[in-house]
Amino acid sequence: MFPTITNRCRLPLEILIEIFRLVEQLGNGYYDILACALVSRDWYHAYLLFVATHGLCIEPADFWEHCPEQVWSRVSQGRWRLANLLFEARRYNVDIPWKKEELTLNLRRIVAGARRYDLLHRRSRKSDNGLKKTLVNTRPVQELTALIQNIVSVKQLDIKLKGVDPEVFNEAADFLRQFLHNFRCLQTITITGPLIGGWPSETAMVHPVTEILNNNTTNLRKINLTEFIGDKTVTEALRRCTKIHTATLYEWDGLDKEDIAYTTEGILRLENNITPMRFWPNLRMLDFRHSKYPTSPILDDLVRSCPLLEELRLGPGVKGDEEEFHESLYNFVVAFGSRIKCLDLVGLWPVQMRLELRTVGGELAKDAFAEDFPRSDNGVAARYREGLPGFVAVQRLFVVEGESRGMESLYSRT
Amino acid sequence: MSDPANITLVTMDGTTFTVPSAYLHRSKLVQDWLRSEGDKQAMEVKHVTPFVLQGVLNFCEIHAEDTSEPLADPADPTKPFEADPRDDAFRGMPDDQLLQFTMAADILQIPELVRLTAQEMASRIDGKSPDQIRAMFNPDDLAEEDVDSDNEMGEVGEEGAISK
Repeated sequence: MFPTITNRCRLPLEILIEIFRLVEQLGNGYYDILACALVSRDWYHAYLLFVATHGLCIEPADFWEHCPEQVWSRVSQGRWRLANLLFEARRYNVDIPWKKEELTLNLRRIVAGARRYDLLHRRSRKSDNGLKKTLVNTRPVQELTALIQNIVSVKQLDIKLKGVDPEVFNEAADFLRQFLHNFRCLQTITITGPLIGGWPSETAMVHPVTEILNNNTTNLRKINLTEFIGDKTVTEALRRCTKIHTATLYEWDGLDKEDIAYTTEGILRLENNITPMRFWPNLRMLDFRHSKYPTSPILDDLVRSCPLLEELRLGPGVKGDEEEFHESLYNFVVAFGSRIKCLDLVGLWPVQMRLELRTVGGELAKDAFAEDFPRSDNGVAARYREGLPGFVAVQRLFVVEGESRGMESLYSRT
Repeated sequence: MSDPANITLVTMDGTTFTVPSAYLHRSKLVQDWLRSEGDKQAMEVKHVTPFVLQGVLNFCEIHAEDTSEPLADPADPTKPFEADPRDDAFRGMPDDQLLQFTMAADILQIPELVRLTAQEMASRIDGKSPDQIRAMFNPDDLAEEDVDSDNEMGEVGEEGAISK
């Protein structure tokens, strides 16, 4: 029997969870659970624990249809967070089978919690004189520890680095190090936001991401390194993740200093930096937007190393030679366009508006957006169809307004 | 020194019930009390009314001679719930009494009774709206001191744990 973890004369959480379990087995299943969640605050707490431990979604898509505002306000006022509930449950040794597999960590907050800093929170409540700041996350770090320990095998790990400096990153990495065994089944890793000042290039410290990656190379399938600044060790660790099929390297910064951005040395370093892709034979989707303009050898290398690549998202680079890039892209499309099913050139492809060519060579399927521009899309589409023999297999092509220069140069060559 | 064959229970208002100890062999609370403080005169069962305790003792009496292994946990998946015709009286009781019996079963730690009442509550909840459930079981309204502010509770529960 569970111990009682509420000291009030109400049904204890563990009994409510047991009732929910039984309710779920009857009739409407999950919708009855939702009804239970909205009975009172205690019941909502039990619901939070129930869904968390049964791998269910706290707010399914139609949650709000089943949740009138006045009912919601009954349970939402002063509700506890899941972390608190789990902490309470563990404190009383309530055995909760945990099925959740995702973990999102905001490092800045973790460290703030560990140091008991008071951070000003941006998601503030409105007050009479504008935005009122609220203090958040002065939570003791052991609660977070309890939280992570409950997730026996994390399959998805999101780390937010925004506003974190390397020192804080290291501190947080020390904290995470004790949970490395929880990350062994990791399939998806997302690291977003740049470190303040970037990762020091001449440091003896091992990049914490390297450490996480080194432990999880075998199962990793999806990787998202948005605005992430790595180093050599990260690149080497990435090379060992051979099962990656989806990679988002949005605003991937392979170069450390702007002044060498597009020198020969810079290109060389960039090419070296994307070498992990050469080791990802299963790669199907690559998002390379807002990275440097990939050069012809890079694109060429990419397609040859990744025979399954179907979706490629490029975007305007912040640096680099645009002309040369368009030249590379033209060669790339002619050579490999037959294999790429989705090519995203938003911001790169200089046409007047966004188009979506669902079937090239057949009828142009107009989407709602294209309907707004009935006059010109057919013309542009026709030019694409006629002018680009390489695009025969491209089913989805995203382009967006830009200067016409590139389009014309592409068109004039065919 | 109390009679080891019988046990006296005192409810919240001082009413006493003396029953054979064997009746309560499924109550972990009573068993623990017998082990640690069995030499005392009577065991206090606070928060339980005489009416409810009487009902619980009736349940214990009915099941006193059951030979099945006591449940360790009402949610034990290895032992599926089977309706027992001897428990029909419990299944027919009004909603508020059912709630009180559930709490009493939890206080006395009798997994079999918890399972019976939880099962009955679940079947009554099935298909009901939040307001109907609320009317049936009337959980206590929010007390002022229970309303915590977001400031105190922080945000990790949202950002740190749940990916919607």
